[in-house]
Amino acid sequence: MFTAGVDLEPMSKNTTFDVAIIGAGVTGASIAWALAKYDLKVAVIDKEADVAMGTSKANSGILHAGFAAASNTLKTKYNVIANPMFDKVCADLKVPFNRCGTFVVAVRDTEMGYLNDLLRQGTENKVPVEIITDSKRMHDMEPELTKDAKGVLYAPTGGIVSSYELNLRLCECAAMNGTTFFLDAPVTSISIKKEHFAIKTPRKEVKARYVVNAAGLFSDKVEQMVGLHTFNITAWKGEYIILDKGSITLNHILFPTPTKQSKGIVVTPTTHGNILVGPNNIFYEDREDVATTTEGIWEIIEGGDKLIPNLPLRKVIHNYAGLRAKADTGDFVIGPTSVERFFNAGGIQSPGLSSCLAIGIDIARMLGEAGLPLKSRSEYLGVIPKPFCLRETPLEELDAIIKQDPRAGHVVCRCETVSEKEIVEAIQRPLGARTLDGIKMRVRPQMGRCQGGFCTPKLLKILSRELKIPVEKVTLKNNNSPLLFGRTKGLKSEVWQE
Amino acid sequence: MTEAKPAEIRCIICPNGCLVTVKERPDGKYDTEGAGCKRGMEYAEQEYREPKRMLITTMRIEGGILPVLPVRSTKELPKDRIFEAVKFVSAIAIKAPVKMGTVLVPNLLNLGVDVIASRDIEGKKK
Amino acid sequence: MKEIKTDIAVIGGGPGGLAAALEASKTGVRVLILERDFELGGILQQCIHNGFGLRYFKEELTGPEYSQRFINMLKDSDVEILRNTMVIDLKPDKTITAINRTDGVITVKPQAVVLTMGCRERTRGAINVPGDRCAGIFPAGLAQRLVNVEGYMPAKSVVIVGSGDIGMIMARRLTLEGVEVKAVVEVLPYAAGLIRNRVQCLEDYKIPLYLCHTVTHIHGKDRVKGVTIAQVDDKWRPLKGTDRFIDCDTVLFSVGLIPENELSEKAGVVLGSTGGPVVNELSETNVSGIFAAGNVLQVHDLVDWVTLEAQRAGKNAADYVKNLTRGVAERGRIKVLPGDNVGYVIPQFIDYLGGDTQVQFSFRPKGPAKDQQTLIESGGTVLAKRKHQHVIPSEMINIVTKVDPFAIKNKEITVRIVPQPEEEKKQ
Repeated sequence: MFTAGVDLEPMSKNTTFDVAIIGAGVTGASIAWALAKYDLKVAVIDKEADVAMGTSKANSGILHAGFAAASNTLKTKYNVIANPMFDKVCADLKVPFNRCGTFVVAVRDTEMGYLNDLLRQGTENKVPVEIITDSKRMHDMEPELTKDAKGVLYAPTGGIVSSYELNLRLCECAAMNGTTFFLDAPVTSISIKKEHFAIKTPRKEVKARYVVNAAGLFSDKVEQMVGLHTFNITAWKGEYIILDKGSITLNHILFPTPTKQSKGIVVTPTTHGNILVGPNNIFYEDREDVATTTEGIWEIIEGGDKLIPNLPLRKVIHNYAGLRAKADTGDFVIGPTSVERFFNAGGIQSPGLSSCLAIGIDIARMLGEAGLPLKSRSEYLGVIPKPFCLRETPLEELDAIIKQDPRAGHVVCRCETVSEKEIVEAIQRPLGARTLDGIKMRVRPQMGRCQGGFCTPKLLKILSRELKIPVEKVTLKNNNSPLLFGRTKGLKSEVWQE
Repeated sequence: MTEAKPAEIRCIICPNGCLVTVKERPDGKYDTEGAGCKRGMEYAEQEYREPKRMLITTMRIEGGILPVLPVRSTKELPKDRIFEAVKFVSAIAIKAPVKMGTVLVPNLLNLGVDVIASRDIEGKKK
Repeated sequence: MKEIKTDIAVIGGGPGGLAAALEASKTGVRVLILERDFELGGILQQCIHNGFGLRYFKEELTGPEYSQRFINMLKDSDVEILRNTMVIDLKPDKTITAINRTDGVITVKPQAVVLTMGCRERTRGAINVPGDRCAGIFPAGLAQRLVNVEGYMPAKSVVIVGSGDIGMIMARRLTLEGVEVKAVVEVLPYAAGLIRNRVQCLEDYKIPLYLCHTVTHIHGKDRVKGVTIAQVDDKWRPLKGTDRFIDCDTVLFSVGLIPENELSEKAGVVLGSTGGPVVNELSETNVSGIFAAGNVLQVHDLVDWVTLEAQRAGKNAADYVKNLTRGVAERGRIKVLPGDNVGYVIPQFIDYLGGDTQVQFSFRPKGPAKDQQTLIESGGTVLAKRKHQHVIPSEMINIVTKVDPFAIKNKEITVRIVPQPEEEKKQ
């Protein structure tokens, strides 16, 4: 029976891991990455069939400068430490990143007070910030910015990062260095034994001496499994629309002035050249409800229009939503607990992505202080070689590559210009794609303007061939999401051959 | 003999889409009302008397560059036999190569209509 | 890197490209078709229903039969064909970069280019349909390809959004393959496609058609579980209290086609309101020597018109190569504008108008109407006139006519659709 999730087990089945990390979002991934340089047996457990399937793939993709939160918060502490780390880590792990800078835009004189507050907070947090009121300068820097802009808080250290690719690469780096991933493995209970924890999932029991809870929207439920109750999570939905590449020229991330609840509806370029508008901020009882709504979409279009008038809506290609995991403590919940060797890394809402690298490193330090031996791993691989990417390859080089590997000459995704070679590599890499969403996340087919209209038949065949499963068993994101129900005319169910 | 019920037939000959009422007279001829032209009247009568449709489907083809071959009937067949026709044709497989126009099923269901290939399909190269 | 020499490069080997290439090659110039699929025929290969060729061949053919006729004609010609080849760049100087598995990177430097890349489908995301992002949501054409070409079944029960011809045809196709088609949902107050399809695809199979309705939510965490539909007002906004849930495992979207002009834009071709290039009566774009025809220029409803349009583009491209056309400097630039009840007109310019020039005007009405007439006018003078018993946006109107160059005022022609005067009706 085909399982979309896979156990990558370089270890024997009865291993007791040094550390088990529950959650393979950016937080869990960063912790695994930070631990990967040490000679440890680490396991990462996630309920979904792939990594980065929760909030980590459904957010704004922003590296915050760190001027927003109070200086005595973990949010500010980790954001400010992590921010300068992104250049090197993204370069090492080949994650798209652009330190383009952030604008917070006041569109009324009455909003200027907010900018002053942020200037003060930013300065206190030691983040470079300035206020620009000169209209010419504002619009030279950002030509499409609304003419209503009265002033702008400019933070040059803000940037955009592909959050799901960062999540993926952090996990890949960990996998390259021996980390075991248990996917399609929701944690149902955790028993505390004398020297270890026994973490039960439907197919496996994972034993580990130390446990880090990075379970995002369910991090409160996970800590309750060991008898703790130090925080409660509520889910707050943020919806987005994506515009096609080249729809407007946008040089910076644009924020409106913030409200008490949220940073507001943003208009931002992405590292791939699309434009993102969103998110709104609505409480949801169901922590797995990531559907977009009519009202939500209208709300974000209105919010976007405020910053960039007359957004070209005919260039919209998709909408999506993610849920913020908000802890009722008002801050990240990070650190040791009253249960020995059990650590929390929960309540990671904004600026979670911007803080993840620092959280990872600090959790590793805390684990060390709690007795985990932190001996350097010999032959640690910290740099991921740049994978082949057709659209970034100069033509002469591309010609030579095709002569060696004809699959590089088969363009499968026309909108994003993606070849069969890079799709096959995305399946065969450590933590490779096993689903259509997995391919989408790793190499972009189905992200473009046709949203899979052209490439889907080819992707189904490639996944079938590489995973050696019949074409009709290929799924969108897990075993409950097949694309097809079978064949017509009594045709045989087959693995694709070519 | 009970009087046949009149029927309202939507004419499809041109986008006017006249709604034509057709009723069978006791003498076997038809009364039509509402047709905008002669073609429409004739169509409505035919549709009332014996509605006919083209059969359009695919057939399994073995050894070809594609797994299914698009086929059609050479003429329209009675509308109420279409599902049966599709079932019959779906149960047959043919072998590549095939040329457009080849008769694959002669005299389908004894209706005086053939099923032909809509395109060429070459055999798969080994 | 391979360099291929040719006179005319045709990008796209569907009905447009086939017709353009054949016509051009009749004059003896070298022609190369670049086609990304493994075979020629384009979208026709999956359109297995009939209704094609009534005008051009005076026969009613299926899509594959129509393209097979041209493919067979091509075999007797000198047209060169590159299959499985994707064009990735087109420059203003007409240099083409393409790639395939066997030749690697290919450069073509033709004297003329004919753009016949066709369309892509408008997606769920592009029309902002809210809800979950689960398996089972397809553009209708993708489902058509999976069923008719690849032999896979993507659905057990389906709701189809959009009552254009593709949506209605798929309703019938899927029903005949054993799928339960629960409903077709259409935002307009009338079915968008041919009446024939409404009768033979929906009414024949008793498939409910919900007019003035839209899908307001797609439900399903992993695979589609159902849709919520609601009635809409005349601005297409959902009306409160009209929600209804239809359970299904598949949603197909048939909500329009978008000409694929990303390559055209790379070459500096200017696009117009159809989403396709602005062209003159020769089907030439603003870039000298680049021509466009077929769905990439304007979305067609009858492939027969695509063939005629593409033949014209191919012939003119050949004339261009043979230096038989006048240059950019001599362009007259008479503007052709859409008037009353006309959505758009192609061509947008007439450049080389002589007394004998036959100009083909292609246009669509904005809204349906009966007993209308098209007036092609300039400065109040009627240059040409045609009567129509009915006009409907889903049916393109094509008028081929001579235009008196001396009657043109202010270098402007307007195409209008107006009611016939009472006394002229029913003549």
